[in-house]
Amino acid sequence: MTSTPYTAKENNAVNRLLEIAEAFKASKSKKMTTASPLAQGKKQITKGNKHTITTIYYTTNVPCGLHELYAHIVAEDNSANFIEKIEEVYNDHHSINYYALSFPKPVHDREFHTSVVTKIEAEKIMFVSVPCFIEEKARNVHPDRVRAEVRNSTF
Amino acid sequence: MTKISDSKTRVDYYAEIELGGYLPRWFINHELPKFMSTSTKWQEHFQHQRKLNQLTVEDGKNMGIMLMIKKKEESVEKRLEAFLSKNEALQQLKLTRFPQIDVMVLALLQNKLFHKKARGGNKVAVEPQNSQLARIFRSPVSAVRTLNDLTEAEATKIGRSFKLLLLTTTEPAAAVDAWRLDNKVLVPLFADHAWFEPMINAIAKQVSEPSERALWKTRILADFKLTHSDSLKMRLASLRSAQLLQSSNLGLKWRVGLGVGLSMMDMISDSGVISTYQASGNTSEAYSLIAMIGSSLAAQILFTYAQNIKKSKWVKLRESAFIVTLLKPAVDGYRVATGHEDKDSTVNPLFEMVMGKMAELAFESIPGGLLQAYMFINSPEKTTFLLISILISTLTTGFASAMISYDMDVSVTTRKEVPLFYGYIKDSNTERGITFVLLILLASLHNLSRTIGTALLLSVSKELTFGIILAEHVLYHLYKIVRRDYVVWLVGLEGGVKYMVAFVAHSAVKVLVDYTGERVI
Repeated sequence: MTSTPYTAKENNAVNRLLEIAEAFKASKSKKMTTASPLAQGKKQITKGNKHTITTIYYTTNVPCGLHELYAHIVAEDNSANFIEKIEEVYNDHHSINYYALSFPKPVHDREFHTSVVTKIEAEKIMFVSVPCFIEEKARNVHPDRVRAEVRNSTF
Repeated sequence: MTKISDSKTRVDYYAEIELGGYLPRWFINHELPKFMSTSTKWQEHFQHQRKLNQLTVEDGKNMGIMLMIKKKEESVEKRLEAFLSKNEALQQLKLTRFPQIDVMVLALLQNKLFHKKARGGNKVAVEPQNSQLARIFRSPVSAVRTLNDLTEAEATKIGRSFKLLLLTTTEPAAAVDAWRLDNKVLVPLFADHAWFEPMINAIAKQVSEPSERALWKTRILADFKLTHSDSLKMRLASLRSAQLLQSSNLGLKWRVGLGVGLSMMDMISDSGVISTYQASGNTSEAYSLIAMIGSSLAAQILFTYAQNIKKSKWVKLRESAFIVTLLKPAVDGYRVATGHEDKDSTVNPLFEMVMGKMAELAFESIPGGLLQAYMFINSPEKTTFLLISILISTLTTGFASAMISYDMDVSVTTRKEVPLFYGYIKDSNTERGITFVLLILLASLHNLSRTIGTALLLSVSKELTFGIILAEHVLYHLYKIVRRDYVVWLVGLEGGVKYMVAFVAHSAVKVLVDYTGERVI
């Protein structure tokens, strides 16, 4: 549980994502190959205003308790997966993540700037990742990186 | 993340991503797994921490899958070593009960019948050099030995024997069952640890699955540190992987190849016979053969429709196209060998394959053979070619019939469902081989005697012959109806389709049992 109250934007992000999850379940999707047969994946690809928007879903069963898993996620260092990763704590349920992923050439690397909101309930914990709604700090500009968006993402 | 129980949490991940620029669809498909490997890593982390007494069937399956996940330029030895160094349950098993488990699993994962010779000509195998161990290596692993007493050489032998069973059985699960029965020393391991069989099943399934090549590539792409210079290395590594898989998928290739080969040979021989009949003026016989082929295809399409009744019209159309293009036996063989699972199908892939083969035999091969025998008896010119053609037809019918009997008998599912009937084929490789040859001979000779008898009767009186055949069929169908056994076995079908499938299936079974002594219930 968190002590800081959720702002309207944070609540909206959580609610909007739950709606997306429901809509995904209700609509048609294609089976998607996942990185491991342990996970089952589905995807929907739609045309956005400019570029293709891909919605993906996958599910796995982790053999441990809910809070044990949460503690592991909080303690886990996954920075090796990114060419750059900066995580700033905004409050006890909101952090700001800047990270960049390496893509094989000739495709440019992609960078993301996201707000990660955590909501803890009795038998459910949600992580919501949306385009950052806190003003971005000045940082080194990488001309070889393309700004991508995880528009909505949730566990 | 949702709590399922105190020791299980479900992770559902949804993401809507715009990667900020044009990227080809195939590229997105390769890149998406990057976003999706996080929770799998958590799953693997906590799976390794499970204790031996906590492991369930699901854990066994997951461990088998994890053991088969290949990483870039990682040898089987390294993969197993890394797995065992993290996995607490297997470490516990090694310390307390089975000291050579790593050796056995390594031989099993290497999935080779024979070890390559080194450049100097010496074998790379773990084959023991001293005479006492060499004797043990040559002799079967004794049933009275325990897991604790097994030597390194014996554990290797047990692990390596799995490959041959995988080659000679249809389903991965059947190979695992045969492996268990063939190595009595493993029986307590299977009996006391419910997770062990699912783990080996998962390994067997992955070994039989060529798509693991695609998965392997996906794993490389999912490596975030991939650079431009790595792409060439990746291609080279991919080639090496393909070579390894080439050797490990022999059973699958054999089955698919045999399916395609027999279908093509059948089509060529049928076309040849039809044109020969037409050229010699026997048009009614040519049309009879065309009608037989047509009825075989129609029966197969009916079975396919029933099999995919819950699926879309496109799936039904695709499956029917496999039948018309004669690719169905190959597709069925592939699905059975890779342990294909589909919850929307009416029956499992093995039964689907058996139904297809039965339709082909009952409506095309057996009547075709009968027609050939009839033509031979009534032909003024009795050429050797016609006689050989009849014998080949008899042998292929016997072979296909024996395959059905063999596949159904060694299947773990059918042995569990009907233990009083299935299980007549013994469990060692030699005994299985002998039984299979005998089944072919039995079915072929049965077919030959019945075909000649019917052809002779047909030459005397067509009306009497067809009258007898019709009477037999009517009695058989009535017998099934009276026993209330007509449609009760058709689970998942309703209405007219159920009765049509029952009628065609019972007719096919009747023909098969009459003409080959088929051993299927």
